[in-house]
Amino acid sequence: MVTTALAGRAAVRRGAVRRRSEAAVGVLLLAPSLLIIFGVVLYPAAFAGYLSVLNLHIGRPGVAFVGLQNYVRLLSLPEFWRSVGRGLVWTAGSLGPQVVLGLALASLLNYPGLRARVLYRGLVTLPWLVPTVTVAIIWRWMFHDVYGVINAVLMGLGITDHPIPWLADPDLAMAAVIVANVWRGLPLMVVLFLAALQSIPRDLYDAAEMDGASPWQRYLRVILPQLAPVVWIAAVLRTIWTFNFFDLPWIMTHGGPGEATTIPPVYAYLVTFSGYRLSEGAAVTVVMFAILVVFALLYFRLSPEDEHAPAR
Amino acid sequence: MRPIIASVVILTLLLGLSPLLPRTAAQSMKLTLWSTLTQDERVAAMRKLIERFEKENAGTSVELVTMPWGGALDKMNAAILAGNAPDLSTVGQGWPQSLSGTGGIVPLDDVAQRLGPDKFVGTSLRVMGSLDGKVWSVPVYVTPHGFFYRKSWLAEKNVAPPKTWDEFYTAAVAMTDRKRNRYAWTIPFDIHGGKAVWAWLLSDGETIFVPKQGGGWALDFDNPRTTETYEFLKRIHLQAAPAGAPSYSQSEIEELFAKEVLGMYYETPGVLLTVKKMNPKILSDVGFFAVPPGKRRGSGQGWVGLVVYKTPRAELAKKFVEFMFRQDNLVEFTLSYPYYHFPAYQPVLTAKAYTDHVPPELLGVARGAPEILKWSAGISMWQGPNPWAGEIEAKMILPRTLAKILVNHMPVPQAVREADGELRALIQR
Repeated sequence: MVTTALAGRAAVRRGAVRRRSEAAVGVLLLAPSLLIIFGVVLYPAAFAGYLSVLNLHIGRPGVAFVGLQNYVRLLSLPEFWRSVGRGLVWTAGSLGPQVVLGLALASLLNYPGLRARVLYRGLVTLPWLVPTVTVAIIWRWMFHDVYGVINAVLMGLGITDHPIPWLADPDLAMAAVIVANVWRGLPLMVVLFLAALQSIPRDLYDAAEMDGASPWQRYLRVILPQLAPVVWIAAVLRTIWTFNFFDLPWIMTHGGPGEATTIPPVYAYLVTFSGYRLSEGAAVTVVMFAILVVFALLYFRLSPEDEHAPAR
Repeated sequence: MRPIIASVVILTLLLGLSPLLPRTAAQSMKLTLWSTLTQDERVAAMRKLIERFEKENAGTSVELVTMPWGGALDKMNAAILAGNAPDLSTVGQGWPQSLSGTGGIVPLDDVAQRLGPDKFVGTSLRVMGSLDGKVWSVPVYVTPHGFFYRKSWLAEKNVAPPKTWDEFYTAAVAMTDRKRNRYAWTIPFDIHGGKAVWAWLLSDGETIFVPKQGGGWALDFDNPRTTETYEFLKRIHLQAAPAGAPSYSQSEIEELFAKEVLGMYYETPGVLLTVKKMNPKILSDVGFFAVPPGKRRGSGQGWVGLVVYKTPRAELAKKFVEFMFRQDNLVEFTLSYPYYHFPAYQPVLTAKAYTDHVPPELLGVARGAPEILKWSAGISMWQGPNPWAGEIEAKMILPRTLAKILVNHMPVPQAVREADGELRALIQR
C-alpha cells in the first residue's frame, strides 16, 4: 500500500512537472507574437498618447506637460476638420465600390458554368500581389494629363477633346486616388465573399428554386442574407484600414493638389514631420483612433446576427 | 521535440533583440553616411571614395545609405529625435541651419579652418553653411540656377530670349501652342518648387526676412512685392503651363522638357543630362538665360553640403569630410556628375583636371556661373543665414501658396496672407 501511495504521488508530481513544462513552451511560443503586439501596437499607441500631452517640437528646446492643450487647438482648426471630412469621403468612396464590385465578381467566380475558373480567380488576386508603392506610381502615370493612358483612351474615343488634369483638379484628384484604392482593395473582398458564397448550403438554393423564386429573388432573399455577416465584417475591417491608409494617397498626390487629398493620416504626417510639431501630430493620431473606436462600437451595436452561431 | 521548439523560439527572440545590444569596438569604427545623391553615377563615385577611405584608414568601414531628397530632412530630424542618427549626411540649402536647432549636429569650424574658409566660393560657406557665427556644414558643390529653353521655339515666333519680366511673359505665351501639346513652363509643385518661386521673389526685391537692429530677424512677406510676384506666376501658369502642372514633380518637368512638351525649364543644368539620355537630338537646341531681373537681379542657387552628427564617431566622420575635400578626391567626385556639381571649393574650380573635363554643353552655363552665383542666394537667405530656411523648403510654403491660387482659386492677397501666417508661426519660438 505504501508503495502504491508513493507511486501515486510520484505520478501526480510527474503530471504537474509535465503541465508546467507544457505551459512554459506555450508561453515561449506566444512570446514572439506578444513582443510584436507590445512593441508594434501597444507601446507606440501608449507613447503617442504620452506625446500628445506634451509640447514637443523638433528644433525647439525644452519639453513640458500641457495637458489637453494640443487637443483643444487641434479640434478648433478648420484644416483638421476638412481633413476628417475628406477622410470620410475617401473611406466611403473606396468602400462602396469595393463591396459592390466584390460581391459581383465573387458571384461570377462562383457561377458553376464558368470555364477557366482557376485562371480568373488567380487574375482577380493580382492587384493584391503588387506592392502599394508600385500601385501608386502606376496609377499616377495612368492619370497623368500628358502621358497618361486614361486620357489617351478618352481622347482616342472622342469622349474628350483635351487632356483632363486628373491629379491637378481637387475633385478629380480624390476620385483618382479612390479608383486606385478600389483596384488595390478589391481582391480581398472577392476572396472573402467567394469563400462565404461557397459555404452556403446547396439545399437553400434548391429549396428556393422549388418554391418558384427567380434567380434574382434567390440572390436577394437567400444568398445576400447568408452573406450579410461576412459583408459586414469585411466592410468594417476595410473601413478601418482605408481610413488609416497613408501610402497610396501620399505617393500618388502628396496630399495635393493644394490639400485636396490630405486625409487624416497625411495630415498627421504633415503636422509631425513637415510641421515639426510632434505632440500635435500625436494628438491627430489619437483623435483618429477615437473616431475609429466610435465606428467599431457602432459596428457591434448594428451588426446583423450570425444565423450559424450557436444559440445561447 | 519540446526542447527543440523552445530553443528555436529563444534563439529567434535573441536575434530579434540583438540590435538593442551596445556596439562592439569593431562596430564603433563603422560610419553611416546618408546621401541624397541618388543617381547611379554619384552613388558609384561615393562608393569609390569610401573604398579609398577604408583602405587608407584600416579598421574603418563606411555604410552608404541613399535616399531621395523628398522627405530626407524629415527622416534626419526623426532620426535625431529617436537617437539613431547617421554619422554624417548630405544636406540641402537651409538644412544645416534647421538641424543645428535640434542639437543633433556638431559645428565644423575646425574642419573649415583646416580646409581654408577663404577657399570657398562666394557665400557657399559663410552664409549657406553657417549660422550665428558657427560653421555647421561644408559645401560640396553649388549650382547656378537659370532658365534652359528651346532656342528654335522662340526663333519660330521671332522672339528673343527674355531680359525682363514682360519679355518673359511674351516669350512664354509665344511658346505655348495647346494644339501641338506645347507649353512654356511650370514650377514643380514638390520640395523643389520653393527654389523657383524664390528666384522670382528675389528678382522682385523680396527677401522674406530682414535683419532687425540689435539682432534677430523680422518677417517681411505680406507686401506688394510678394503679391506682384505671385500675380505674375499665376498669369504665366494660366496662360502657358499644362493644366496638370499643379501635380507635377521636378523629375516629371525635366522629362516634359526633354520630351518637347515644355519649352523652358528652370533650375540646374542637370536637365541637360536628362535631355542627353532621353532626346539627345535637341541638345544643341537648348540655350540658357538667367532669371530676368525685376526690381533687381536675383536668382536661386543649388547647394549641397555635408553635416556631421553628434555621435561617438563624430571625429572619424570629420576625417571623412576632410578626406573628401582632398583635391584629387573632390575633382573626381565633382566630375562624376558635372551637370549638378559646380565646385564650391576654389582648388577644384581652378584645377586643370576639372576644367579640362567639363562637358562642352555646360561651358555656356559655366561661363555665366560666377556672375549668377554672385547675386543668388538660398531660399530666404539673401540677407544672411537664418534658422528657418530648411523648414520653409521642407514645408513647401512657397510652391503651396501658388497651388492654393491655381487649384483653390484663392485670391493672391489672401494666399500671401496665409503664407505670411505660416512663416510667422515658424519664427515665433
